[in-house]
Amino acid sequence: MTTAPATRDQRRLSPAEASFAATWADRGPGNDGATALRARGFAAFEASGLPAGRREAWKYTSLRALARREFRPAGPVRAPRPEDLAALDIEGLDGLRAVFINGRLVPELSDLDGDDGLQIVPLSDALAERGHRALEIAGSIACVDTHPLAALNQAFVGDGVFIGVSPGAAPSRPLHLMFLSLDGGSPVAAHPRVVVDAAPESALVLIEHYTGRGEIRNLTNAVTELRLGHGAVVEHYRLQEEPATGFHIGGLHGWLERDARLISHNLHFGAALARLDVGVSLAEPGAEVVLNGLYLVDGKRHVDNHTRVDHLAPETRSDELYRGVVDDRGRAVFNGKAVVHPDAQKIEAHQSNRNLLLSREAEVDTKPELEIYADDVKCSHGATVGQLDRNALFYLLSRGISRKVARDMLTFAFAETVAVRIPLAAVRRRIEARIAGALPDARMIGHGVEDEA
Amino acid sequence: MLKVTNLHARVDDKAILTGLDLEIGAGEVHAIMGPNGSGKSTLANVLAGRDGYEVTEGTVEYDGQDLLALAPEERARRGVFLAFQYPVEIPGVNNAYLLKAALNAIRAHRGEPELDAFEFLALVKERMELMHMDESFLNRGVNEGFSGGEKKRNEILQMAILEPRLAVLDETDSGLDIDALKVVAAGVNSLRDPERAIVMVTHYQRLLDYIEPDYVHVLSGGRIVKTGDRTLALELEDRGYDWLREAASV
Amino acid sequence: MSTRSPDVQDLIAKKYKHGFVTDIDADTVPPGLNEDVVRLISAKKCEPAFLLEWRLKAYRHWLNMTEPQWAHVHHAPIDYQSISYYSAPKSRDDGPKSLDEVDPKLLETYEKLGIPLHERAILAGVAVDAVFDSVSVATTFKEKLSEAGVIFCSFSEAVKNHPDLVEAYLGSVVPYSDNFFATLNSAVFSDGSFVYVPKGVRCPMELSTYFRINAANTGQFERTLIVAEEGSHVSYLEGCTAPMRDENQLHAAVVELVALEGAQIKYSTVQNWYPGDENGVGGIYNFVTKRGDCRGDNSKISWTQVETGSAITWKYPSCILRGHNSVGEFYSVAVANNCQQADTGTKMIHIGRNTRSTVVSKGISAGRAQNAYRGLVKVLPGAEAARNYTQCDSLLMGDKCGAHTFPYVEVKEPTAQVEHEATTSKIGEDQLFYCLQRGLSEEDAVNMIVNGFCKEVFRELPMEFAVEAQNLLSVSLEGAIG
Repeated sequence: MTTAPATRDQRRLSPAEASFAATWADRGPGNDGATALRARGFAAFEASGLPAGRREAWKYTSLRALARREFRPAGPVRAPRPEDLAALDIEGLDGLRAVFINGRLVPELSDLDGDDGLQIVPLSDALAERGHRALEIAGSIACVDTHPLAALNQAFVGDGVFIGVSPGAAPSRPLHLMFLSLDGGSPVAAHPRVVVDAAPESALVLIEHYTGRGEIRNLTNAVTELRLGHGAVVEHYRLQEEPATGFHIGGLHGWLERDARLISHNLHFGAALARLDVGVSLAEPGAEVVLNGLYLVDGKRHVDNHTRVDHLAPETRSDELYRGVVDDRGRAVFNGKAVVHPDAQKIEAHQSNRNLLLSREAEVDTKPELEIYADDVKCSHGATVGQLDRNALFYLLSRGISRKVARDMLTFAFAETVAVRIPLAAVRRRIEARIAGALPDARMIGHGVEDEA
Repeated sequence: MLKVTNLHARVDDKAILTGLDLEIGAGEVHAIMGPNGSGKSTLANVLAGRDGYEVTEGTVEYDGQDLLALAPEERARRGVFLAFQYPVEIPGVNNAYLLKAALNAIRAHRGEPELDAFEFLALVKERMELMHMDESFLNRGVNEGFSGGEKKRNEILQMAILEPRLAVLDETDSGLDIDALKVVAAGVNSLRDPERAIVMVTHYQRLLDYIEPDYVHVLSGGRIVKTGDRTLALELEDRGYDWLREAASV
Repeated sequence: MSTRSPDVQDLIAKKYKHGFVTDIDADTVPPGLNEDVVRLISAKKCEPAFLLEWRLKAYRHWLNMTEPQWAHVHHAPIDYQSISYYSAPKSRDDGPKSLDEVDPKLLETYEKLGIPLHERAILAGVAVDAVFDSVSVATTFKEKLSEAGVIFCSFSEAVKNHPDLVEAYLGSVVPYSDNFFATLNSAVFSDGSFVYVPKGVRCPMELSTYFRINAANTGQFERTLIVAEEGSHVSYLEGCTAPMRDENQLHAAVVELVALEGAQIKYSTVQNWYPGDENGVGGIYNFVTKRGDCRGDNSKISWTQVETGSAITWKYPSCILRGHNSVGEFYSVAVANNCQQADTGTKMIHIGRNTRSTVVSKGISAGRAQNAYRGLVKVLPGAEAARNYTQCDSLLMGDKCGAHTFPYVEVKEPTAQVEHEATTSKIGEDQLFYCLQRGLSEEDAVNMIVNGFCKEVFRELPMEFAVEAQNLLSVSLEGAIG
């Protein structure tokens, strides 16, 4: 008797995969406008499973630890006390705030009354409404076939929020989405989705803030889809400060029409394992994306940033600057890809990834890629892994500054290069405080004497 | 104050200094001249303690102490200052912070209290006027985007604020136009002091028109081959270095 | 708006200069591969038992391997059973002792290629070990080399005369199980070159080999092994052209370099095999494994390559920097025109302390070609103060071609410094116009600019190769742009 070769169906599911399948069996695809969407998401996830090392996109990031865990869907969790919430909040940020606990919107902590043409709707409500823009956009930008975790998110799509900005509108205040990962007893998987519809000539400042408290063992699997109409400008912040025990996986997927501009700030400070896939399609001429990224990796943490920019149309531009400081037993992975498609002429695509490797047990794997199928292009990329500049260090020492302080000063300065590109002062200050917090001897480096006096 | 005896030093396994002797007393201004590759900058870097400059023989005594045994920052705190030939750009570290951190480290070493922000600012502003520098530079990155002249002025400003006992100016005149040279020279002259020694390392005697040295040394082949006064520099201007090199090789 | 001038297409349509077939009877084994074929090859060459065993191990391993899919190239599946795994010119039996004994047709072939073997060899002081198909047929300057104690011979001769050396070093850099094509080569390799430079010897001349592929449907499985003993120096040149053929021909060579303490090996390649016609018909599949092992402290291995030929190139000359203070270099010009596909680059593996590597890659894409740089810089823990600098530039000519960069950087050592830079742009219109305005023809202008673009690599080539490489480049790119 011969044994049939193992197929996908017969493959043994990991505890995590089994728990997702159980949740799916329990919930099904629902009966709102997103039924097909969920079914497609689950089918795609079922086909791929959790990515394993053989996939090029996951070469340096193993999900074994995640796969071993069983996750249950988010249930009700007691809302944090106002002072605890305030402790996690971004100090000095004057914005509209929506709070999510383990993916679920908590209306009583949220301020959903958008002004100036800003519409904020719980995603489940939007998906239930026939003909809603959310149904058009959700699943149309984040590809379930190439991103298994986005597929998983889509299988359970419902949590999260739809944000619509009317044509020409420019809300005066930033919108702050606060995603709290809190202990719910056993590990919880949250699959929030943010769907942004920025109409032509509109402007939006959006902060996605992933944070939490305690020894959580949760999985946050967040997907954001942004559609920018012609001339729309979105300044997007993604601040990830989850406790160093959780898993954080995210996708940020943008589609930019003519002359639209997306500025993304991707700031990683937390989670045991963090992986973010940024995918931006510059679909029409004049579209532009700026990608700033900063990661501080210490302890035994692992941070993986994958970015991909598709220049689908002529006269599109991308500019990427990612920097990381990797210490202790931390591991940082960067993969940045710019693809210039056939006939997309007059392109500029620039990319820089620099890493400071500070410890003997730390590791950096970086892979900046260019795939170019047009000729009238100006593309460049650079990647470095190394230490502090010896000449700069000597210069500081020769001025009497101690080696320890000098090192911290230079490390701070290295990270500060990304921080100074953050226009929103409250976020920038928080980032600088974060960097300085990791560098005890670097206090006040970023600030002028005048500020201090 | 400084006594260099039979100093031999290598860079990348290449012997650069080959038995250099030099003695400098407080209040004196010395010029060290020499052709390219004679070891001038090596001497400056060895005194400041730069990595990669390996002393293979000889001693350097500074205020009765073995200077070579000290880390670069300890030398700086004891009053050794190097004005760099190529000041390093350090984006992200602002000038004011560098100055304040350096000054307070040195003051702490001397047992003086830290300056508070107001005192510090007052001091810096006063010294900046001396160097004709705009205040906006304080909040810029160290030397970031500075012109050649600005960098050199910034070096002298640091010297004016840190008030070293022994200042080594490495090719401070190179890359300066005549106006910038005058400003830099005026800054240096204002820092002449009976307690302070200044060593100028230079290829051309032009700088010496503005900062008059007490002694002029000629460095060639890694050693001081001739010492004289101001007139030696003028002679070099006329005759070049070759006659000395020939003399030295005999 | 198109910025290209109308005569671009004419210019692109240049023909392969070296395309012709030499009519020689080949002693060819029927197509197909099995253990008997492996045994036959070994028997024909009267090989010692260890080598047959090694071939068989490789063959058995190969049976369980699959062709790699990761390269950025596309081709129809290769039928490994339709390939003939051995062929040798008939004149082999006589064993030519000098050039006079060489088949005149062969010599004529070299003449057509513009390689006046005897003259050139003497004038340039180059010992030429010419490989026609798979077996050496002419060797010169042997005496001068043997005076210095340098062994430079065909691989078969080395197996016969220096089996201990072959056994000691064969597969020590590229093991038989290394990768699909190297494993195939290990099972069926026919011949190649062997160089051994004894301790402290500076090889008195550049060593050079010309490869050609001729007999139809004959796989080429060259194997080169260079061993440089302590403190020795050797510079090896490899160049090749191929006649025009419609059938795709597989070439899966293996080159192993071993540099012991203080030894230096410089390996230069000019590769100009038949790239196929303008429509991508025919051409060589060049799937090569080249690797150098800086086994001793202070050793150095330097690869320089000018790759203009082949339909598909899949090649990553690499350095394992095992010895402390060892140095690896990779200088490459890769040109892909018409329908050529190139996926080439290097691997620099830093293991020893204070190891340094430099990578300079210049890729030029024209026509509908796809040209990819793929590189790995890996710094292992303990490779203190390791340094790598990589510069990777691509030049695009024409809007239908592609240029890709896939560098992998893996660093596990905090004192290491790794720097990768890459740029991609089209040939400078300002520069072109400037040259035209000064009266240069378009072709000359392109040549000048492209040669300038590649200068950092060309200056690493031995003199007599540099000129040839520049000519090759201009021939390959004739009319690739306007």
